[in-house]
Amino acid sequence: MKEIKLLTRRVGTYEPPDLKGYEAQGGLVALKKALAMGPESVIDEIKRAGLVGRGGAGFPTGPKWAMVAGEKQGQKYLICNAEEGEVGTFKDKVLLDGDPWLVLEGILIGAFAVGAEKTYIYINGEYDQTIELWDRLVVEARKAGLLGDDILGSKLSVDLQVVKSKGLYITGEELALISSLEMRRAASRLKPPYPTEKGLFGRPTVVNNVETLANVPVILAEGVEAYRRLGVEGEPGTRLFSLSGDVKKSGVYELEIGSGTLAEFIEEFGGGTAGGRPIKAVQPGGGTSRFLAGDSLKCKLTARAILQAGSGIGTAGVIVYEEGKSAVDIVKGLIEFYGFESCGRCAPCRIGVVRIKEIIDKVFGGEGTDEDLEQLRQIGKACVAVSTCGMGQAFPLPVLSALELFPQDFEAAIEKVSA
Amino acid sequence: MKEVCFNIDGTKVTAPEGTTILEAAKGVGIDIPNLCYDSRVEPAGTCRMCVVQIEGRPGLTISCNTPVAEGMEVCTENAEIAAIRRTVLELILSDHRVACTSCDKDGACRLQDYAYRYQADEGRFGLPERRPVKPNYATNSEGILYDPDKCILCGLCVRYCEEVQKAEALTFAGRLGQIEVSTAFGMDLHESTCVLCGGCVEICPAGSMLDRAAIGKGREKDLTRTRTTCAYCGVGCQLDLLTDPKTGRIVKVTSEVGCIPNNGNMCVKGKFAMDFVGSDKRLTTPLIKRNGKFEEATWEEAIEFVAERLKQIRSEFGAESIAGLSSAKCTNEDNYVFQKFIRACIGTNNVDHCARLCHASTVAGLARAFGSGAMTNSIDEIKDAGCIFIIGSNTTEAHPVIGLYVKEGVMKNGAELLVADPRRIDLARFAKLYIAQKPGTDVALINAMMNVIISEEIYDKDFISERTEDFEKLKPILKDFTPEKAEAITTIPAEKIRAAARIYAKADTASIIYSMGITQHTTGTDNVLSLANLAMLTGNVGKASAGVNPLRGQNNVQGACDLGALPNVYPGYQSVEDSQLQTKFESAWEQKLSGRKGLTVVEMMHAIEEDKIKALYIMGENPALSDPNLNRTRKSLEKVDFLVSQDIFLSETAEYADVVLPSVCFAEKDGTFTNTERRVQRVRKAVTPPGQAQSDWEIICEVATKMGYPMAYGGADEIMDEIATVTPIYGGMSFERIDKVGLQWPCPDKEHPGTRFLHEGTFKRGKGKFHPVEYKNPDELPDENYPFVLTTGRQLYQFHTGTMTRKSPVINQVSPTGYVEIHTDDAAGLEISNGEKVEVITRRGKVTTLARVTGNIEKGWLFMPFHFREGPANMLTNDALDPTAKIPEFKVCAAAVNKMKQPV
Repeated sequence: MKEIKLLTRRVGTYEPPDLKGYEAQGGLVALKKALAMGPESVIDEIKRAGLVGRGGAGFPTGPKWAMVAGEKQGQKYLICNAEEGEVGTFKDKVLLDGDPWLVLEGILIGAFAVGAEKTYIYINGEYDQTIELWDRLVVEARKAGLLGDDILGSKLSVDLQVVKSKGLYITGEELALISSLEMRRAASRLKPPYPTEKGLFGRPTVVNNVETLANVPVILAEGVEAYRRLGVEGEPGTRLFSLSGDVKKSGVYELEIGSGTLAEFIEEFGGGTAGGRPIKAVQPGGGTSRFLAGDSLKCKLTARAILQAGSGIGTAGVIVYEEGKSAVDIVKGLIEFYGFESCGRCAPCRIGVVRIKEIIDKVFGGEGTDEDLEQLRQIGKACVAVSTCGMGQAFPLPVLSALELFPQDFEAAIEKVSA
Repeated sequence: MKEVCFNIDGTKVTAPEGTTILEAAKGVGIDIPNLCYDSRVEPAGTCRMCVVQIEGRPGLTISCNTPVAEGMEVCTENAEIAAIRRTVLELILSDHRVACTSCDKDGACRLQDYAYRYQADEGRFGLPERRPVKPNYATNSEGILYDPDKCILCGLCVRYCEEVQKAEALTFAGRLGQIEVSTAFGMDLHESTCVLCGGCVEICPAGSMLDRAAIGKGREKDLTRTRTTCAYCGVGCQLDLLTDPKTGRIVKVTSEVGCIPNNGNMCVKGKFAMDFVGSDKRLTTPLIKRNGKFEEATWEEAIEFVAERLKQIRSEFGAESIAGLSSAKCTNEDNYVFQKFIRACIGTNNVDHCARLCHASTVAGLARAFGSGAMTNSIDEIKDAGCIFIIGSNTTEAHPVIGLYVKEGVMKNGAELLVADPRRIDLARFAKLYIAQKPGTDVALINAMMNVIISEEIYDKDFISERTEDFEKLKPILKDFTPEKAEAITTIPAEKIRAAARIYAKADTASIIYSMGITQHTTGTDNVLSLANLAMLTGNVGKASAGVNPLRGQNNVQGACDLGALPNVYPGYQSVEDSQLQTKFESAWEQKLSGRKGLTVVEMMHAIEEDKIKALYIMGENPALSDPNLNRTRKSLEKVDFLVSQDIFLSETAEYADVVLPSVCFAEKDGTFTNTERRVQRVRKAVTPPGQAQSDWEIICEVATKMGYPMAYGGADEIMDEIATVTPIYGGMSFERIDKVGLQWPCPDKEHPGTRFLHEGTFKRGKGKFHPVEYKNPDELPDENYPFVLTTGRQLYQFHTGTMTRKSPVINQVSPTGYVEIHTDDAAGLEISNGEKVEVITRRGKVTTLARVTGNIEKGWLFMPFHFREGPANMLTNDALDPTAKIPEFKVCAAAVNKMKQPV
């Protein structure tokens, strides 16, 4: 396995917000191409490239753009979702800091394609330096005629506003993000209507993840055919994997999709487990993904293979847990985080997350019973089955999968009581 | 609308496209459990209880936000769904302080019902920790209690406040674990933008919000529920009075979603101002004034006394020396009996009521233009209009529930709202265009709008040629009435007048809504005729959601007019001067009748000065506070030889009376009211009257009988049956037919379904008639000594002379006393600060009140609400009359305002 630098090739090669460094390495070629092609052709190219969202849900980008482009009248918006709040996920930051012009170029092409004059980048409130950089970047972009009216001498007008998120996990969820941008409570909303129909301020809105948008200039600059040569059937291109947990070397690695297995990735890039013990479990798609263990770790690094193995690629945040730690301990750590992050809008998630946290604390503290484990399963299943948004549907997954994969850990925690 | 066919739990169902699964299921009697759904707000899907399984779709889908589709197969419950519902309920119960044992909502609580249905165990996931007791936004509210320990955060109250009432007072505060309903910055509810509609209390599914005054006074399941019609404004909201059968008192008021016309919505008065019913200030026994003091009397004595005095005065001075004021607060049956008593027993047409002071000009103007003086359309059509033109109506304050329909039209259906009012009323927030005409200059504004419509040729030529007459007479008057000319008169910039004209004329349906800002002028009839001209010019009459819609102020002012409590017409607007009609009524009432029309309200007061009226019988009215130029009115009340006041309280007027007769209020009697959309609705007895109080019609019948004209009915329904025989527009009415939803007149026979909107196909009078109207100045203009224009009106929290509303602690908390609104710059010039005591002076009087300094009124103009006996606005108002309708000019007079010398 080796890294392939498609999106990240300029990272570290120039000093943002220096534009010259970006342009010198092929920057803005895609934007110029796009302006010459026209919005419809841009959307067609993105569709042909088979780009899917990199934020977690994996929705196809081209069709999403087409929905918003289809609305011909009135204000439309594009939002770059740079909240990146998912546990074990820090790949967007690499692009935001290392090659922000690439992301901006993606934003501009997206705005051009869908006809959005107003765009936002909603950046994680804890990325202080990133936000500072982007504030400077916007000033530079205005100076260079890349934001404002008549961009690059065309009739394109796009403005970008940098928004510091309020530091809530839930604002990574697109509707909560939109609510937050509207100065409302950061809480999810009911779908439908989808943001593409009624998004920001009730207008059609595209919400794209940072990495998704960074793919766009690459696709246009390199050409669809070249792009599609990478990856596997149905999943072209590369992906940025964040690697963390009990590994020797954590970091962000850009890999061709499907170029190796999860186990190989951890071994080759992470340098094996931190304590040298065997891997107990891995979450391949961020902190809300199901655990994989044993033979499942031999799955290829594609969305389909990971799904077949019993988890999800999510944000491609790979978190490794080595032997020696109880699964109860692991889920306690995770739920401690999610236990405060429900927006509170829907009953099962709002109450369920707190009850699950209480029960896990109880089990971890040696006070648990069989009934407690049953309650964990019931609450978890109910939340997954009926919650509105990804938060409620996903936070119980690690708990449920830990109960399935490591029942002995939970029984051991309970037995302490009877003993 | 397209119908779709689908399957719910094995049953074939059809429903209109767009119907949600939840609603469709409800339609076939399947109650899909939910704790956050209400048909009046957008689905939010926060409780997640309403999930169903749809064949071919993965997982579960919430039914409150999913429309049905052709061929869809829905399973509303199976073992898996039931188990999930139970778990969700148990989660909710783990966060809800279960206090059914001491909760008012016990037995009427959705959460409790579902917990029972699914046998949810409230302790399954542990009992909630009690929050430390600390004040919340409602702690100091007289109206509402909020218990965060019981709150299930379904969001219904917040959404109702935002989406339906649009008060935007409630919101959520805090993050997980500490989320609560609150106001902005947690300010006290009564100081927030809350309008106290009580919608939050009504919509709460879990007993977390309660009527504060009702706590501990009876659980809903133990209370008796009586459906009746509200006794405040003319909207005619259907209310449920919940009474304690043991004490016979009203405990609280609710309303049912789906009822017509209010769909379960209420305003502060209907919800929180029923304290007057059980007030200890109610009259309980007849009183006769002896040596200047009221003494209690028996009914026999009192009736005898009244009958004797009236007979004596009639024989000495003739029947024309006696006059009666009927009441827009009383039922149709009371009004019918009262006018029959004055006409058949006394022998005069001197009968009038307070419609004279509110919509006499509407009745006169619209009758001339269209042939019928009532709201042309129905309330629920307003929300579907393309343009809503509100002029001289502070709808959200005076007719709050109609205000909701206006807001719904704008916010949900995209109606373009035009607001013309001297004050920046709340609806201006929702307006596409708000214009402020100087008080009394409405004709100039309307003429200029028509000038624009004609010169830009955006009028409806076909409608004019087919449906109207005298259009040619209109043109010359409008020719020179340019927006520039109107700008000089109204102070509205000409361009805005043009814009207003275009918005109105270009809408496919445009509905004019007006009220006393139009009618209470010496040019009131002219104003109404102008609006009729405007509507006909653009073809906006005779179809749904268009028309000219006067909002009637009192609960039954429509009915009192309909039933002939007017000096010129018998019931059903049948002229007293028409000898054929006179003969018809003479035979129906078996008595000779006068063919001469009688005196109007203000004329009666003036006739007393001239010794022409010797006796005045007042039923349920309070002219000593409601009439213009009170000093003059009160002198007349003092002067008249014999004054009877029949009322529920010892009003300002009753204090001048020789005899006071205690009557029953709306909650204590059966009968009907007719609301502003011509809908005759039931009033039902919910509580026993205090002391010896009697129904108005019963008292009148006894007096008539004593005077030698026997009148007797077995009940209010019998009176309605008699009304139907002599009143063609009420010909099809009966208590039986109107039992459930009422019926809109004209309804000529028992098979007629009633009339939603008037003048379809043809006007009542045949062709609609244009009346050229010249602009005339108001009677009194500002000058050096009286430099301000004073206008008067209502406010949300009070009603009329406050006899009813001011008994409510909830209302007293938010509206303790009167005030005068003055522009910030004017106040600065006079060194008046907000809340300071000021003196308002006109040629007729002087009152002391508090200054309310605001930017919502233009410079040079003042506004006073007229409800308050301390600082009564009507001490100041002008009693100059409209020559046609005899309505006084409450809305414009010249005034001065002074800072009061502060005590050192």
